[in-house]
Amino acid sequence: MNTKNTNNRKKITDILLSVAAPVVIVVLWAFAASGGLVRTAILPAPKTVASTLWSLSESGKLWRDMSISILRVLRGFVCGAIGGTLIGSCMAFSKTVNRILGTMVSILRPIPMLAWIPILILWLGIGENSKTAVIFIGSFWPVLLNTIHGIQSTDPKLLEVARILEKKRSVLIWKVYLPSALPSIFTGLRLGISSAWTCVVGAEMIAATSGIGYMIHYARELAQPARVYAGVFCIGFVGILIDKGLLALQKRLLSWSYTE
Amino acid sequence: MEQKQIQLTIQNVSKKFRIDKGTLSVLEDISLEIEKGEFISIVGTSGCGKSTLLKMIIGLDPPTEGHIRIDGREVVKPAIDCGMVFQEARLFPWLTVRENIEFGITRPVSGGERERLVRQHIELVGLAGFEKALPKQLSGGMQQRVSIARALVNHPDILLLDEPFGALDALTRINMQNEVLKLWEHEKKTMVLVTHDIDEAVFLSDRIIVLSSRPGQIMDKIEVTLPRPRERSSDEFLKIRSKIFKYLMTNADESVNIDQYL
Repeated sequence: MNTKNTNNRKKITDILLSVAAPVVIVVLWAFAASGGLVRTAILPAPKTVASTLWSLSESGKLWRDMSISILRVLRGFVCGAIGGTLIGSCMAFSKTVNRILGTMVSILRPIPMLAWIPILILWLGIGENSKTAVIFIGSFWPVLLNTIHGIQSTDPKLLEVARILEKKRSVLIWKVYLPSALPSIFTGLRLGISSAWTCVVGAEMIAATSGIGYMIHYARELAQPARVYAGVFCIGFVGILIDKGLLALQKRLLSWSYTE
Repeated sequence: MEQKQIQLTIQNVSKKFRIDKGTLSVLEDISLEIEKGEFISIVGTSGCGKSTLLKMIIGLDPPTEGHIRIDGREVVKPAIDCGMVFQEARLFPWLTVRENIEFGITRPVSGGERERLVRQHIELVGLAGFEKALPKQLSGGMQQRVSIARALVNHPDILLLDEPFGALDALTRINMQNEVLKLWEHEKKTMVLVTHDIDEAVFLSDRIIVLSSRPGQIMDKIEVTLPRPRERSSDEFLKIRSKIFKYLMTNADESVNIDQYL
């Protein structure tokens, strides 16, 4: 009973601590806006942003733009995740493949996403394909690198056990390397989807006529700062939802890798 | 008298490791014949190469010189007729107790037989009721039981035990020694145990091989003929114990006055 109480109290304290910083910032922001410390053209009051958010969602415009962006993220991310795990596995399991692709990876990986966008528009046009490609590249790298790292850091002691039991290479791959790499691959997926989310907004700001990134960009051109902030808030909010969702999924599927 | 049959032959085996430009001699001229069904212990101070010897027997590491043969066949790579239990249980953390033991089966067996083998070995090591538990939910002793079951489920002819109870607390260790003794009497397997626990060696073995510190050489082969289960505080037991202790202490550090320990 007693431990349950302290556990509950600890939980409540944890929640309070984690929301403290955002709350303080919003309160300061409200004071700054109402006290006239900042111009509302640069930073509208939280109240204005909230009501803009409300009217955007009521008119359905926000949902339309959000769903377009989310669909783009899903399309690009699924491709990036599949590509990253497959190519990462090949690179981790085969020294030859690793040599062939290793240099390419080192050259291409440091290229920032924004630099890809003009190239991809040249190649694939201004339509959906170039956006999918941008998101693909953005989510591909973290998945690739974490897959390789996960497979390569398989405990050699467990591999020794499998060798002593005369297991075939295919058994080693499916029953030892890959399960052991799963937590790391999952971390790659989480990083990948947040990178995908960053990329879609970037791509939409540069070349698009729909989506949340376009909405923000357009609002800025029309000098509607409240809309800009409402859009930015939505991006952050969806980002945290996706990450928490994936984390919960990871804890459920890979419960063995968490110490209780 | 039943016919003695040599199962494992270690013939003039030496092992040297290359370190930078020099070589480090770990084992020197080890010769040993182990009979089928015999319980052998290899004792020695840490770093005397006793674990290296096991690694060579199982075929993970080739000897620099000499030959190791199991049933007349030279060991070149790991084979399932030889099982091994390590100091750490080395269980797959993502598999349940059941699945970990099932992983031990390498021979092709039918689904029903598979099921039966796994169940039989879970009961053999006294883990019935824990089939669905994950390794992290088990105590150290229970994890080691799973690892023993995994090594036995393949029906190896020889079971190698590399300090299997070194990481367990004293009471659990004595418990596990009793369990292994029962397993040995029940399964009639050849067992080779590497340990630095002298009591453990005297309690379990038919023969104890005493290795000197690096480079490891055989100092003595001591037959233990006491009837089992052995009384750990009997005079005979203590006599053998102090004999081995003397070997190891004199060898470890000449300047130590060993009488103060005896």
